[in-house]
Amino acid sequence: MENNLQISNLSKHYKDFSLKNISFDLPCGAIMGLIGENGAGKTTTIKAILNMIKIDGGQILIFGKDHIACEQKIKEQVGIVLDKGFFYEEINPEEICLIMLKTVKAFDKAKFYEYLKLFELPSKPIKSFSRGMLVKLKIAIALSRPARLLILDEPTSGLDPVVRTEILDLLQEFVQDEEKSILISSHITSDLEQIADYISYINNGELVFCQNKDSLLEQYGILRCDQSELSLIDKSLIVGTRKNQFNIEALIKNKAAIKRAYPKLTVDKATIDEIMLYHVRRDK
Amino acid sequence: MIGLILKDFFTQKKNLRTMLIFSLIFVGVFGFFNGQIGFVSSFILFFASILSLSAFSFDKYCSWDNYALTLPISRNKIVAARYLTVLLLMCFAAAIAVLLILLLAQFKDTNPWEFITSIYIMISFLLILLSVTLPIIYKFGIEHGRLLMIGLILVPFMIIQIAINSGLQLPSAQLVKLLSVFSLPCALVCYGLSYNIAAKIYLNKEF
Repeated sequence: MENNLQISNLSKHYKDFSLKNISFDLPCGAIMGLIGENGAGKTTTIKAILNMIKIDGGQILIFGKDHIACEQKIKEQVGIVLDKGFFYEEINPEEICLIMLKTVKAFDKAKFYEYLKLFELPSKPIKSFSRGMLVKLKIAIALSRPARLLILDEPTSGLDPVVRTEILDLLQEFVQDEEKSILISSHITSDLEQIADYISYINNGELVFCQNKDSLLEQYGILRCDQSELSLIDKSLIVGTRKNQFNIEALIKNKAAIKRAYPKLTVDKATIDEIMLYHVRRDK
Repeated sequence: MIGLILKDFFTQKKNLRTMLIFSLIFVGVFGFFNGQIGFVSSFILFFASILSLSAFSFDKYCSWDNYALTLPISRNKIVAARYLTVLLLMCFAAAIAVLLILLLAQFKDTNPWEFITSIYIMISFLLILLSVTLPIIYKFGIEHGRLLMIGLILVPFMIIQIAINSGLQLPSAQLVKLLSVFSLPCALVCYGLSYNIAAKIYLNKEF
């Protein structure tokens, strides 16, 4: 399977934070969700991919090419939506189109106007746009570039469920031809559960896991039991625990094996949110 | 690069309109009634240099640099586009000032060449100021750059004042004339050097 993005041993050190040896591959035709707490290193990873920061170690290959040596060529084929960073509010979509036509080779004007129509975006200065409209405009620009890779930083945060669903549908459509990929950083893990094929979880600058979403959800489970039942379980399979008034909840690995060994115990499906939460608690 | 210059002008369209309206008002008030054409033309050029600095403020407000770096344009070209925008703004302002001077000369008994020469010197002076200020903005941000620009504007006046007070002999009219002629080529060389410094700063900058 070919990869559109390969990151190996990516490191970046700041005074108070370090990104340590991040490695993952994003195959063609796949959507990868990048999750983690605020300040965990998601945006730093994206900035490193886009060469907005100088990396201290590791290698980033996009379409098999070095992200610095072939930067301009690569960026012709990457569509990007950033949480922070866009045009000044006095500019309108038509002006943005003119700017993009002069900036990005093969920017598809007809496609851009189709998206403007589809998203019902008015031809007004973007200061009058709601957050949802702005995200739609950013996505319209990204999709009108001849992109093989989309990189989206928090595209759905602050949006209502209707707009979010519309955007997620578009993203799924984008990867249909099996040649394109999407890297999407998001806090809204339910969105990622809906569309992502892979989940990469970064915590405190380190990659906790990068795994196929289905096998991840298959592997982890929430065990609901009391203290004596919990003590029966192999400690290496317990990621973290949480006590409440009535029982103990524990995130466990190898859900199937535990279910087989202790058929009387209740093991429920874990959500990505829960997997993230228990990992964070363990580390603290 | 043309796209980035276009973006600067689209961003500043309201300000450019304001500059034109203010220029006309100033021409009316100071030009026709008081005959202070030199003041009007200096004002227009000064306004243009302020607009140049505003471009950086707008960029900061919307974190434009982050977005610019997602485009298939090199960092050098991003800086070059801004330097060209500033130069175009100054040329645009100078063209308006010259037109107004020629227009006023139709109604007032003035020598337009005298004022056109003052525009030539003024534009050179402002370009040298910008040559110092722009790399500072790229390095330390617009707030520091703006303060420096205001400070630098006062420097020549201070030098002249100190020279007069200390009884130094002022240069001859011929030397002043010679310096005036070479002021714009010198300013353009400074501007080119300034671009090289700013491009190096921007190349190593992290966002």
